[in-house]
Amino acid sequence: MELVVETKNLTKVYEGKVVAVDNVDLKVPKGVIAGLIGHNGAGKTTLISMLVGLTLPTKGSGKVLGYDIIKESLKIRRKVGLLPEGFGFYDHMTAHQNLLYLAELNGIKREEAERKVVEVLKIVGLEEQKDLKVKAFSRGMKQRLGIAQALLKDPQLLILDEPTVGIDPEGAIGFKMLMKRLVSEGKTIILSTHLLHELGDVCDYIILMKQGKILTQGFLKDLQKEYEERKGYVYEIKARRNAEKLSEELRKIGEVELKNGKIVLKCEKDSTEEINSVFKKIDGLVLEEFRVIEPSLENLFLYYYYER
Amino acid sequence: MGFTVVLKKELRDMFTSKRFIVLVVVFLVFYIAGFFYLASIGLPQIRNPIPFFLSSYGRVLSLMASLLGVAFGYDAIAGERERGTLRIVLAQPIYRDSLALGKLAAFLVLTTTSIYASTFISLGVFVAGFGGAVTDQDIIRVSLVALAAVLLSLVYYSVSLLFSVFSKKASHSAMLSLAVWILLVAVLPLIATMVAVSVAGPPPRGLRGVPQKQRAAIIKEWSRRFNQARSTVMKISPNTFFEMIVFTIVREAASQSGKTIPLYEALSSIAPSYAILAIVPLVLLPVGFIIFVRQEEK
Repeated sequence: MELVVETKNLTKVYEGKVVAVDNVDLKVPKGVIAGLIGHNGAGKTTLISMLVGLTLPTKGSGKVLGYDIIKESLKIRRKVGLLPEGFGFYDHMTAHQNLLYLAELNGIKREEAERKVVEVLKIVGLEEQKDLKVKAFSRGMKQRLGIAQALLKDPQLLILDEPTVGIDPEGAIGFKMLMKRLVSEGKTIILSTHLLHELGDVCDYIILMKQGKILTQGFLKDLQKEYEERKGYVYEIKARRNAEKLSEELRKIGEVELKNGKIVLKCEKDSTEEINSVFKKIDGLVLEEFRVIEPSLENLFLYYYYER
Repeated sequence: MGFTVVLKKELRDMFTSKRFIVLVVVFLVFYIAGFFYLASIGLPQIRNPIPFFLSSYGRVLSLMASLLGVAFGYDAIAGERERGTLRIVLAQPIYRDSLALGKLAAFLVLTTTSIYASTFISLGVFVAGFGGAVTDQDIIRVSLVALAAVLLSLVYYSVSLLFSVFSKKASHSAMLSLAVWILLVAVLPLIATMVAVSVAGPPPRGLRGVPQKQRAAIIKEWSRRFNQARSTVMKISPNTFFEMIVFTIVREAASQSGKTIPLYEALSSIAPSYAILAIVPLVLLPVGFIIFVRQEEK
């Protein structure tokens, strides 16, 4: 498996006390859409900043596209399209002028830059707004322009930090389609997000982060396989009396746990019929809650975040 | 590579910015108003226009040059940081020092061209109005004053840039920069006078019975102590060094008919003032750059 990003014990400590990224061993294979998922403050942006050399690691090492993140950050930024979090454009300049400036910063010659700018504006659907000043752009349009600038250098790797913040649902769908198209062209994409439901379905590789650490990483299908084993049915029952007898009966059906005065029964299969028969045998039982644990990305996230 | 791209973009932005246009308009209003005032009281014909020109124009230049520095320094970094453009620029293959140097170089071009252009245009208008001849030496004198103004604007630019590097918001940096400008240009003369009075005491009174010679000596001594204390305090302001340069060149130009102070002698006496105006940015700019280069955008 060819890796485009690989880090070892990557750590960032701010002001000697705030550990933003803690001994991260990140591995991103080529040609995937990798979702870097975690709450705000999980360390995603700091990790990204270190990958492209905008922040120096306190400890550890890493390579992006084969370049050292400490010694060869400029080469990395020449090859990696980055959409940083909280970015902005020059409001007094048009979309075309903004992109032309950024293209020239990448060392793209004027003629080639002109061609590239038109091309990327077309990709993100802003070709008709190219001569509009950016101050007239909506949030979604600015976000698309941000993606356009990341595409200017025809990058092998795209790193997009919270790319769908502020985008309307229609824009988010368009964004996902664009990501899938770019990956089909052989690019690798790292999407950092805390909005699991928005981007989860587009990712085929998952990196879960919490408090600066990577909780898990791997192909979604592998993680789901592991989680699939935990698919189950949960019944929460309140017993007004006969609690001990009830627990005894329920242990024959599944795993029993006492939680906040309730009996929580976890079963591997749908056990509604068996539970009905227990309800007929014992008086004073109330089924307070019933839920099915599905191997969705949200549940996978919750499982790693809170249960493991 | 990144440096020249930033330089070109910054130059385009600076010359077309509202703040530059406002400064040009303010400058023109100042100048035209002064010219019309002189015209209203009748334009005398002057044989040697340079001392008159420099002594009036120098004051305007002192204000405009320092304002120019503040106007373009305060948001050089903080503005980019606040708008998020710093993040998008640094996402490209460019070093932070190339960005800062590109901005500085653009400011140098802006301040040099605008100060020299306005100075020589003003001189042309002045000579056309008041008459007189301008010699090669006069061109050197005027150029020296313009050079001092460029250095003065650079002093204020470096102070504002330093605030800009530390500030997250351009408004914070603008407030600090303007506070320094107001302190050095408007408040310091008042403080200097108060300090001078406290050092030299109030002006001597009750000298009616004192013989004329002795009275003159007392007043002279009080004036000496007052001026010494005042000028010592005023040396906190870079504008004072600019004014010293202008004053020396005006004095030299005024006395040139008598050939009492040759230009090279005047130059040697104002060299320390130039040095001080140059040293401040030479110290503050690297400090600002080093801090900026070492900063990390979280």
